[in-house]
Amino acid sequence: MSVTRLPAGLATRKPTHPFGQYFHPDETDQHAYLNDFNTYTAGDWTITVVGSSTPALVAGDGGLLGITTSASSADSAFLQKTIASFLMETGKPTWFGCRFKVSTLATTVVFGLQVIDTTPLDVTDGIYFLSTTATGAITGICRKNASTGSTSAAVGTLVADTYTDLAWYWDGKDTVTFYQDGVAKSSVTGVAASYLPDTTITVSFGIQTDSANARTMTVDSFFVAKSRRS
Amino acid sequence: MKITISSGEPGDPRTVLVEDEGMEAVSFTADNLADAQAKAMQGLNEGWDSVADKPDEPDKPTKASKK
Repeated sequence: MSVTRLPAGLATRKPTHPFGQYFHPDETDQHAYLNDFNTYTAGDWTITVVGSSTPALVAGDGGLLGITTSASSADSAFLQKTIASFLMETGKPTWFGCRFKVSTLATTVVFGLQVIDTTPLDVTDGIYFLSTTATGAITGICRKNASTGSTSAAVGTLVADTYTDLAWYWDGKDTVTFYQDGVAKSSVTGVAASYLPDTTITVSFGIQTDSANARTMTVDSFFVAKSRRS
Repeated sequence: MKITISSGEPGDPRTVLVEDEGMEAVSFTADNLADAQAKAMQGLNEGWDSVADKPDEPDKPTKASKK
C-alpha cells in the first residue's frame, strides 16, 4: 500500500482564517479527549465503589486500566472523569468510542458519556452503552433528565474476555447511531426534541457483579470529540 | 475522589467513606444502598458537611447538675 504524502501540509481552514496557512489540521475546532491509559491518575476521576476496588494500570500491550470488584453480589466500581465537560448540542456533532473487555458475562457493564452520578447504571442524563444480562446483550441509551426522556436501541453482544469496540455518533441534527466493532448496529431518532442530554456529561464506565463473584473490566482506551464548528 | 460504600444486601445499613486529595476523609452511615447513593449524591452537589456524621453532642447539663 502506498502512502499519500502531503509535504506542503494539510490545512482545514479557509485561507482568510488565522490558521488558514497553518500546515496542519486545526485541532482547536473540536473539543477532544483521548485516554489510552499509558498513565492513570486516580484524582482525575470520581470513583464510586460498593465493596472494595482500586482501579490501576495493568500489564499488557496498548495501555490498560484494570478494574476488579470485590466478591459480594452487587458490588461495583464506576469511574467518571472529573469535571464533566461535554455538553451535547444541536449543530455540534459528537463522536465517542471505547475499547474494553470484561472477564465474565453475567456482569452489568456501562460505558459512555453520563452526568456525574453515584448511580451510573440509572443516570438522569447521558449517551451510553449498558449491558445487564448474562447474554451480554448491549443496549445503546440516549437520555435527558430522567427515564421518561429516554430512548434506546439494541446494539450487539459482549463476549467474555474479548475486547470489543463500542462507539456512537451524534450527528448534531436528530440521530444517534450506535456501532460495535466498526459496524453500525442501530440508531435512535427524535433525539434533538426529546432525548439529548441537557447537562454537561463526562466519560463514565464501570462494572457491577451479578453474583457473589469478583468481576474484572479491562479498559484499553476511549475517545470523545465534539465539533466546535458552527 | 473516591466514594466507598460497604457491601451488603440492598436493604442493609451501609457505611460510606469519601476520600480526596486535599480534604480530610469523611464518613457517614446510611439506612441502605439507595440511601447511601442518595447521600453521596447530596454530598457531591452540596458539600460533604451536609451528610457527614456529626460527633455526638455532649449531654446538656440538667438543672440538678447545675446546682
